[in-house]
Amino acid sequence: MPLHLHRQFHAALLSALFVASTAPALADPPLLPPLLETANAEHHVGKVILVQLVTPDLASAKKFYSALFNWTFRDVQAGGIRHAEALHDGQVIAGLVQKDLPPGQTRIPAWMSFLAVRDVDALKKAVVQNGGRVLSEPQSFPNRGRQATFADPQGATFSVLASTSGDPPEELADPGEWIWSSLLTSNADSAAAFYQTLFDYEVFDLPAEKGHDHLILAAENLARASVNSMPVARPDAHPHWLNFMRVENTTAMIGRVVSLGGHVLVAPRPDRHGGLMAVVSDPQGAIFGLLEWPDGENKQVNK
Amino acid sequence: MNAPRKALAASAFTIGLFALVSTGCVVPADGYGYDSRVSVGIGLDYYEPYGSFYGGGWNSGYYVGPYRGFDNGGYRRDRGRDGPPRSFHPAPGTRPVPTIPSRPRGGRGHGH
Repeated sequence: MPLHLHRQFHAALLSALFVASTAPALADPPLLPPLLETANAEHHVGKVILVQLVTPDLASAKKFYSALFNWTFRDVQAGGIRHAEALHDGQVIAGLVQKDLPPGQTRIPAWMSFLAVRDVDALKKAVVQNGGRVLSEPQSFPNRGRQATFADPQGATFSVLASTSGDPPEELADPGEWIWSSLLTSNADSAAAFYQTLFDYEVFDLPAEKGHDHLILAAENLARASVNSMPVARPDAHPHWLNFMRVENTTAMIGRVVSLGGHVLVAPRPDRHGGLMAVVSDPQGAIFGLLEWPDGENKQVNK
Repeated sequence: MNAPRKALAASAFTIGLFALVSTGCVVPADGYGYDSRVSVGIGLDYYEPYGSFYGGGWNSGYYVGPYRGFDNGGYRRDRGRDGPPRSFHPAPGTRPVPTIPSRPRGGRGHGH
């Protein structure tokens, strides 16, 4: 090949490679639907307002959760990312994102908690100033809002969202919807201080096993989440947020989880509020909790 | 090395450089599995480090759920005067422990 053709080929190759390498960064962000179908003016800083799953098998995840909780799905195709919104009674209650798991990776899918904020960028500064780390920089999505993902000082990951359509109203979750979130961490005391600084929570110290903490994070006179020491047998487990789905009958739901290919990690057991709870995983390994929350007011409380 | 070979070598070097740059950006950050290639799109790309969370150790007194509002106004841990100082600012002892929202969706229930 003559030299001048080589040079032309070289230049064309460079241009193509440049375009290919920068295209993802220049692409418009996916057009995610708003958090609320009907926008409101409510903002509840520190409330878990969305839970999002990253899974290597979106189709199987949709099949599992639709059979378990009667969720329906709305597919979002944008920027080459496969994403689905889960709906329950017409309300968006979760997001599911397809992400291939590279061969040899010993990781599991996870449900990510999104906490409501007013100013994502200000929160990012507070995270860094207080020992946390930025895992995903603040990014805006039309209709959805601005969000970012962080790791707290103990290593648990969480996301924040400043929703442009407002935050979900303060209502009791229906069965098949997220009702509670717990942070299981290596240092509950320090973690509670970190999140209190970020979200201005009140922190309530409840009775717990010796050497352990069960702390309640509250805002607007409502409980938002708990912070717990790791269980006795797993003091070295990786800190993480665990989200709970409200169910009417934990024991019955366990049977459905297993029949659909999921796994039971913590068998049904009574919790402080008097109902049964359990921890399970979906067929791909994503972990979540099941929590009964009786409508009646006269249930026995476990102290 | 003659000119055509130099041009080919330069092309190969350039391809290799771009490949290195473009893939180097997607190395998971500090073991958290974050992938900036995907984060460009949705800002979320995380797999928890594998396993080991569960499979035992949840004793009968290990509670993670919310407090359920009852007429005793909530109860607190009694650490006594010699309890270790806390890193957080505890809510005043006179404050009842809050519970989760109790108002049914779209209804006018019994408040929070």
